[in-house]
Amino acid sequence: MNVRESSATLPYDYDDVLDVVLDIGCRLLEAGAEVRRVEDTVERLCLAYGAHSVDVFSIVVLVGVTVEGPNGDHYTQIRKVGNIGNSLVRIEKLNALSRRLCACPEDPWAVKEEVKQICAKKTYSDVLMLLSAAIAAGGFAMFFGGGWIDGLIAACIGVLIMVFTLYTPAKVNATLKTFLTAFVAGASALLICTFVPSGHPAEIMIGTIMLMIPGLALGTSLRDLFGGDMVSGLLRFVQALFTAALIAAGYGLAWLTIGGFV
Amino acid sequence: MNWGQIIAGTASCFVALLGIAIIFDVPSKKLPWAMLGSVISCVIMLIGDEIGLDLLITNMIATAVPCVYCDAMARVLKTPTTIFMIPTLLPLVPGSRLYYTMFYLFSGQQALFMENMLAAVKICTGIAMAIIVVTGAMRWLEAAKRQRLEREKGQR
Repeated sequence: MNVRESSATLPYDYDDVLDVVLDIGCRLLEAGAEVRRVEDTVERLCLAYGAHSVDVFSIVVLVGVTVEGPNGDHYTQIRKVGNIGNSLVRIEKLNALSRRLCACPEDPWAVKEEVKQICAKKTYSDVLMLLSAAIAAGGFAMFFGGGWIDGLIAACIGVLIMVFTLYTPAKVNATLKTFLTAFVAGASALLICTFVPSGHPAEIMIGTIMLMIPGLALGTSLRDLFGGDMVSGLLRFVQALFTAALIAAGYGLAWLTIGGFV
Repeated sequence: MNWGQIIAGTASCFVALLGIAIIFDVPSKKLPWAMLGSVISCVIMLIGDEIGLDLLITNMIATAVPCVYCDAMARVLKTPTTIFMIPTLLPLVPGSRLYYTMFYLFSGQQALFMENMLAAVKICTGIAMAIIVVTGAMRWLEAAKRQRLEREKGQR
């Protein structure tokens, strides 16, 4: 808890302030930020908006905060976060926004609009995402010892994985999606290799696996754990391990079913 | 030392990580700096492999050096460290070990399964240990700096 003297009573309704501050916190969590960053941002913002004291708690899918406002009243709001993705550019933009607000608080409604805009914008177009999936899978296939042909096949499968990631309806269960994507990627690697004898299924599969590995979740979980946020760190760590196991199961099933015939 | 292999490895890794960085939405202005970090970790790892260092030690060094770079860049450019950290640490992820662990598990070759799994665990431990040390040191430095600032404020 931090205590700071507020300079003057602000002209804003504190419920609105808390609303937009939690908006920023939630969006940060959604973009894949560490819990420590979210808690820190919310606390700093509340203090900048003239709170006397702030108590903020956040785990992977929840942010809750109670503040003592400039007029001595207490306000509490809790927000639950939907699905967690990975968008480093959003973390950066929201971080810059909150730095600006801490230096000079602005009207909460205007800020709310700005947060909405930040999160609505796509940084890179779909075509570029497909292309980058191709070069990522191809590059990794060659990095792990594959030849040119393996790289090309992996690139094609990389595009396929990205199509799954981008165009699956949001309602589809994430677990099922991961498993199916892994299965399809593994199966197509094995099938293509039956027609292209000089291809190595192992290297191709390794290249495509690297696209699906939950890198951001694992990295964030480690940073959470070592930052002392045990609950969030463990939750995210288990989530990442679970995803990794699903990927292994998907590729394994492809190998067991189709690999037997090849 | 086989420099050709190191250069070829770094080049393919660079291409792959450019793709990964775009998938993870690294802001375009920070992209060159993030890529530099990944090249550092990739080169250290390949050289470590080449001269036959232990997996644990190689991965610790290949994590610690770029981690320090990431933290420094984050402070210079005033952005969250995570932006540099993800593309930088991805070349170290033991993708092929994990694949072979799965492969030998399903094909029932116990000894090779254990060997690959232990190697993967070793690599992950190396990465984690380096992150602990660097992050811990950075937090300590930060706290020391804050304390000094407060003391100076008090004297005025």
